[in-house]
Amino acid sequence: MYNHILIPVAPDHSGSAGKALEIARALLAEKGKITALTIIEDIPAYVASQIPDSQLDKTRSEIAEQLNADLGNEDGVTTRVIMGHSANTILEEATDLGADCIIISSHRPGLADYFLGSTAARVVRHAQCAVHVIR
Amino acid sequence: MYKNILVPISFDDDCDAAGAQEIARVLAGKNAQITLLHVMEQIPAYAVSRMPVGYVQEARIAIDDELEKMKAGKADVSAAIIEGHSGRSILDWADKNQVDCIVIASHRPGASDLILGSTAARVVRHANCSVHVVR
Repeated sequence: MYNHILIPVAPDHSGSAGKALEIARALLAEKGKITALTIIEDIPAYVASQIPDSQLDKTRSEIAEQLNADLGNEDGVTTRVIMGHSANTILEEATDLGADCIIISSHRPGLADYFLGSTAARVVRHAQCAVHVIR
Repeated sequence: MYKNILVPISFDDDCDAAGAQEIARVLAGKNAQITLLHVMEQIPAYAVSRMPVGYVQEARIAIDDELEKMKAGKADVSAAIIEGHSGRSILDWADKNQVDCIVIASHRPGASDLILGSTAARVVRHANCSVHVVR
């Protein structure tokens, strides 16, 4: 079915990735790969200059550890943590990794979605590959 | 996994109906129901008056035949035809029938998608359930 499935996981939400993983396993071809990806939002330079590098490194490694603890031991799952813009970076990673399916969680749409886009909406609209949105 | 899966079928050449049905099959849990749904776009009154008598009825029968062929021999698959606006009608049908996942085929996004929405984009944005977009 799909050979490389990308699961974007929001920082500190890796515990709730179970449903995404279940769906990924169902959709994965034999010998397929799963990549769990967490994007840490870039912070503007004027803010970054006020935060010591050590703090950023610490945050990054904490998030990576949590993701690894929750999903790193799963068979065939690779974890990745990178800095960037949530939706754009997910799309770039999907292209770079050659992912053929993205499984992403979304909240149920409310009134705000008529005005604001969500990460999932942007990913689904602009991805080149299949996208599964979990609600 | 999912209990009540909706697969909208458009009969457009660039939409992968077979792929969508295959995905639906994999995502279907035990005792799950799969529905193939075709929306006949409503025709403006000025155009209806130009069409031969019985044309719409004949088209409907032809579509019904195609859907019958698709579900032949599959006990858990049913078919439905409704009239209306494609995006809106799919969402209404899903709500009314307690669908928990929609599997919808989409063409790959081109420049026009940045300006115009597609049926899949509307469905994914406004559905209350999970949506799998096949490309």
